[in-house]
Amino acid sequence: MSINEKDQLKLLVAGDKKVIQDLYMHQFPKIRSFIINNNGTVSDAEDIFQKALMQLIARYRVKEFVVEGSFSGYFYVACRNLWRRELNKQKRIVTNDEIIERNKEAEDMTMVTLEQEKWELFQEKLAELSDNCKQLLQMFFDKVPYKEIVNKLGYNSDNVVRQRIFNCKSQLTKLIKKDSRFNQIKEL
Amino acid sequence: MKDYPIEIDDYLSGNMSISEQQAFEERLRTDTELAQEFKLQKEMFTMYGNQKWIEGDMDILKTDQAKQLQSFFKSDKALEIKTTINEVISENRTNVNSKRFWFIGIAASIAVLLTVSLFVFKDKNYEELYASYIHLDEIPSLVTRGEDSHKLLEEAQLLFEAQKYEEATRSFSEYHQKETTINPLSYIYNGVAYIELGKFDSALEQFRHLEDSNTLQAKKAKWYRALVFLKQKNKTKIKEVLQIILSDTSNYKYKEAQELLDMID
Repeated sequence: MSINEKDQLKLLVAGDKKVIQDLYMHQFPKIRSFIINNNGTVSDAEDIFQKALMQLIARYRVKEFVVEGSFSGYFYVACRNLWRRELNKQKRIVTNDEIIERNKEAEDMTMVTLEQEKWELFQEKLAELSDNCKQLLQMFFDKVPYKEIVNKLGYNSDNVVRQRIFNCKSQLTKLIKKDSRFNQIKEL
Repeated sequence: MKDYPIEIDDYLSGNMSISEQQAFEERLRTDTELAQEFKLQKEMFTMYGNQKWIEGDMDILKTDQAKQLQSFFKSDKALEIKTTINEVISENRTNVNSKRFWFIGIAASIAVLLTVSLFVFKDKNYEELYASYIHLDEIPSLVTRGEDSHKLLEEAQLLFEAQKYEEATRSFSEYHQKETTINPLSYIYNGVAYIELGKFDSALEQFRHLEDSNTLQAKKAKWYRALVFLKQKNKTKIKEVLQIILSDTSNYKYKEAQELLDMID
């Protein structure tokens, strides 16, 4: 994140309209095409854009942070996860009570924000593994059968792949569990 | 820290026989440590794979961080920022869409006309107000780029665009009868078609379905109901709906609702 972006983030958190306009110009077109290409509409895209900004602002207000890497990439991923979640969301009962609605919305936004933080933590830990582990695990998580992994990566047998994945995943599990943030956000 | 049991991987990757699966599930029920380990391993699939997003456990809301986040989301400051964001979004919607300039032109001239006409013939302007607020170009298209765009829906939209409202409502109704998952936008199109046909009760019914749809589009229902009453020249009902919209600044078309209320009142 550049110095300029850091300043922008501060202004955004205060609700500066010019910065929001700027972000809209630069980020929204990407978000819109992603959502339209994934079973959404322009108004869905607008909704996600608004939620992603609110999520970012809330996180910063609770605990200041800097975005590693590009802000653009970070924001895009946050929107993508929000949309993934929205698509799978269980239908909830809508009430006409304004206070209940507002509380529910706050609750939902809080869940979204914490889930996003957890997601980032998990990605960070995966990045610490060797390239070989990352490749194997990515295939495992995409549910590629062991047999296919054996063929693609030239291992001797299913069992070798199974053991190798197990080792990689054990490392990853330890890294996640060791992180204090994981212990904070895991449920009480 | 000891390693997690490798059986979890076998289970999650589908490398277990049925009887092994059953035995494993039985263990999950009785062995809490295994169950906890299993939860984390399963969570990894959500975080790293392309599987469905699993919503987290609500227990997490009890943490301090969650409480702080929640109190911010409930605050007036949050509401204020959200309103600013929505303002930016709707302002850009107006600027970007070139088709809109044309509409704005008309709306502006109607507004001028209205201010004049308000003194002259107060009752006759509902029709014009309706025309300036309906904004057909704002309804997202039903024709999707993807391969699974729906034939019947496409056809219905084309009829709608050709202003063949009678046929359009027939196609939409057929679609609603045949399908189990309904694209919520179809209720908006069908409702507007009914308005054009002067069938106001049918129009209201469509917007009721929209409101009950539990989708992101549902929040638009109130505004469209207001438009039905506007076309119907039912002042009491319009005011009633507009008041509801005005009860929350984050409601769809909040600003327009305020404008409209000022004009008819």
